Amino acid sequence: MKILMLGWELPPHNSGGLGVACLNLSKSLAKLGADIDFVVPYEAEHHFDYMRVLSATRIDPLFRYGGSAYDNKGLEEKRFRVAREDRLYSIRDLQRDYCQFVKQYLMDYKPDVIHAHDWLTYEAGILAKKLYGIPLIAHVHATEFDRGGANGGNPLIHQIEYEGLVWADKIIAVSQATKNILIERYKLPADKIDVAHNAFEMPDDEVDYRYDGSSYQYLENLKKQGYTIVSTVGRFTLQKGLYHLMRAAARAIMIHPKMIFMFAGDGEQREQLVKMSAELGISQNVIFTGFIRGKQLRDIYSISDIFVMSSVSEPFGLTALEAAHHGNALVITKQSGVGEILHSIVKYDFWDEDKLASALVNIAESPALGYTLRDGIRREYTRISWDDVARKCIQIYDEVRRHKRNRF
Amino acid sequence: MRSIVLYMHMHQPYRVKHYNIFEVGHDHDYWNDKDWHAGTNNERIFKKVAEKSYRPMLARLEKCIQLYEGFKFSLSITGTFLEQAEAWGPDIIETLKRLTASGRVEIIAETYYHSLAFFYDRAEFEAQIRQHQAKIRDLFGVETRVLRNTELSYNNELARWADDFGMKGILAEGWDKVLEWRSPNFVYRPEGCKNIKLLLKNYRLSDDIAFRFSDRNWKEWPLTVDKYIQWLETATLRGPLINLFMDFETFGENIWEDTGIFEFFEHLVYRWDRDSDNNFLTVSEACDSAEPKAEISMPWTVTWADTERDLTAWLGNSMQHEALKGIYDLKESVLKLNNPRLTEDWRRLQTSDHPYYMCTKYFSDGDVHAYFSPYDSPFDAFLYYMNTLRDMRGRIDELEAHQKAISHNLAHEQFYLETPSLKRKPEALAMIEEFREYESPSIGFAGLDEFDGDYEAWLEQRIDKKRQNDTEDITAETFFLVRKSDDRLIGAINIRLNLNERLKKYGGNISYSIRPTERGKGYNKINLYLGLQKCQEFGFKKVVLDVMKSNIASWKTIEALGGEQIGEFYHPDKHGTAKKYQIHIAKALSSSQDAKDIQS
Repeated sequence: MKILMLGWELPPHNSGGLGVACLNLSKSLAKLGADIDFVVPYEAEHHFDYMRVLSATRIDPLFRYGGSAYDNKGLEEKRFRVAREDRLYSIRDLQRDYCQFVKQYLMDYKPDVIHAHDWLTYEAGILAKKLYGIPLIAHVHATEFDRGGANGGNPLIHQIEYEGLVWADKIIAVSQATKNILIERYKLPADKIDVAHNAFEMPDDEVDYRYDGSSYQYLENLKKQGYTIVSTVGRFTLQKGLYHLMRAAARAIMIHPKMIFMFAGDGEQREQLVKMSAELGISQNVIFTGFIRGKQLRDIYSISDIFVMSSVSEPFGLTALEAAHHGNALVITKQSGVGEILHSIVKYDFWDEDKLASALVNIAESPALGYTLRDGIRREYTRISWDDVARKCIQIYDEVRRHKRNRF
Repeated sequence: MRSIVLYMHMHQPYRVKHYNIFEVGHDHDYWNDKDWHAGTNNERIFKKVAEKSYRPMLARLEKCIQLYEGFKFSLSITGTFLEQAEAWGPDIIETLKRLTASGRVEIIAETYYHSLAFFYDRAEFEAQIRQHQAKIRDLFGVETRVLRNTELSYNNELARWADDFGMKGILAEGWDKVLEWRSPNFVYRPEGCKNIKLLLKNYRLSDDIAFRFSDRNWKEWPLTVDKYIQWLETATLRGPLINLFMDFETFGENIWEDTGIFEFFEHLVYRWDRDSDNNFLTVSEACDSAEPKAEISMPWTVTWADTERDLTAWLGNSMQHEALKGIYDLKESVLKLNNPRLTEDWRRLQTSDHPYYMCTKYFSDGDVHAYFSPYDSPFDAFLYYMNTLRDMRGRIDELEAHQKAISHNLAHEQFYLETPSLKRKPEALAMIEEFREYESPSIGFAGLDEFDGDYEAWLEQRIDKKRQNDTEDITAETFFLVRKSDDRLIGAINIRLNLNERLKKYGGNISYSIRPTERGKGYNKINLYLGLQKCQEFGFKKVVLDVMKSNIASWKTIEALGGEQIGEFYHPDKHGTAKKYQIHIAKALSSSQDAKDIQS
């Protein structure tokens, strides 16, 4: 089966979980016999023996510093420099070029199914569907409602997202929570949406990874003195609910002072978070690492005892599974999709700072609770496999193709 | 003769509310969830199950007792169930009283708190068995003589304990792995026991009703009385006793009324009773019905739970072990303090349902729905439970400090209560003035502030020991609290020897206060303690006293001296909620043993 995947990023040129999910899904699909062409909006050397990566433009992947899959402001205004050309690009420019490339591609090839990942690529998907009637699968990793938080998001993105979802033959949502948003906010029919939770797969470059304790000697020393390390990883945006986490941290430290909170990542709330930690009198216990990846990030997971996902709205939340892989106990909001498939976690409502603090103190103080959570999650996350997700996708592909044959 | 030995188990735990760490130290009420709809609202759950199961099933049982002369059965009813029924369904207690009065309903012995104490602390286990026996005696006027332990847990050691204790019989699961080729339908003797007899649950026939009756995928569905009676009769070919043991809530709660379970039950009783070859036996009668067929040994613990028939649902993970170790570690301190509310809370936390809610074994079974829990997850159950233990430890520390403070003050500063006399006039008036200055009411002074400085007139009235009240005369004694070291008046206490209707409602026997400039030193405890000694001299066994709910220091003092809260009401004069306490004097004075020694 010939699949045209429309994506925005692939590791190592990714800014978050979208690229990781796309890569792992494609890999498992290829194992099941899918023939995949994967379009990205930039030019870079990607060497995968199980699929072809096609570059829609000639711009450098560094654009992600200005055109990441997660920026939803200044689609036209924010421009970034591109190697080899004088021109400045905006996200909208890139999307136009991306569409143009797909149009060109379709003149020569006719895939069986188009699988588009998030709003960035939906326009190209709609185009293919309109021109050639190729079945379109829209995969929703996040909605603009998640990204926009209480602000409601960018109206233009909402419009593109909505059109893509309406044009799609079938929608795949990464969690029941995301499916619910699509039904409630976009009024889409429930039977058009299937849920396929993401899975965890150890990255290829992780095979050689060993935690050697060298990166954060200071923290190692604190741990020897009985400190518990709590971490969170992600972009510092409203969606992540980090103000709640910071206040809960202060309450927990009041009762159990030997606690360190690692905020790994960066984003618009950074300054406010730093200020908050000072106002709450816990600056000594809070560490901001800045944006990190690779070994440094894995070291954070390794040294940390408890991982908190404090998101107000999280379609899935792959970082939780990564943290589990490195032996963390997980504390996750009920508003995070990943919690739907896990048992051995403490769940709380994102606003329930008391319960979050209660959980942190109890895990820090009770060896039994920490052990049961870590031991339980280790058994669970390995059972969730990308191969299962891929099988579900194949089923959906077959379904939409059958449907198409019946129609024409 | 073919006999049905029907035994049903009635239990409700006190579930711990969503008790976060920030409530620790502030809120000592673990049981009353303010949210009516919460899964942990014990009152709501009791009332719901009462409607669906307790009332309709008890009504049918009573009807069967009236209609069929041969019908008999046995019940095990936990203390926590009885307490909840007394509070939220007293008619259920009345029905149970009528049933036991018929002489055809036997009550079975067990731990008052449905605990796992046997596996942790033998003395505590025995105390709970005795507490349960006393409660049953008190309510129903009967003695319990056959034992079942929590979740029908059983082993040789338990049997030997029950034998030594003088129980006539004991109940256990008739598990194939133990019985092998033997039938559960005989009376057995537990290994190494002299007198006690063992009855074994016929789990197949019991579970046909308790688990499979409403299962539409079961090949025998629907279960008719004809078919079931046939099975019962076939089963008696392997021994005369059919021991049907199950949860009472099977009827109406686990299996709903619309399945026809009630009609099935009634009809079954009617049909079985009709045949002269059949009868019903209570568990004691079953024990008496035959000599033991053989000895049976269960060296390891067998329960009636899960396919494993073990305790792994309660003691299967490290959280459960930590929680139970935590609660039993408090034993010595709790019992030494002899504070009724603390002891009660401690024992309620031993109820086996708490560790059950922390069970994680079904994560690997994938059989999540087989386990009912009022919490979102086993981890939540553990969080809230461990927070109550934190609070318990805080209370213990506080109470221990209270007692130490009393001992210390009595030893080093020496106080006594003095009958007011003329020589104290200037000091007494100065003290009243001080109250006025601090805008604090002078409580326990028998109205000295109303005499406008006429100390003599007040004193005269004191000597009469009478005080004119609205309608009736009240006899009261008033004392000044005096500090020996500097002979200073510290406060006063007023003890009413009889109460009129009004004082029964508001006020109680004792009122007292410490002068504003001497507060915060724990003197109120001494005042009350010495007052209780006087009460003892006057021949009181117990006293009743009120305190405003907002006056936290004051009611903590009362609780520290063993006060039990017996009510809460709106105080019209003081425009607020007041708490009513009762103190057993002998208990209060003996629990502060150190203090007494020093005093004498």
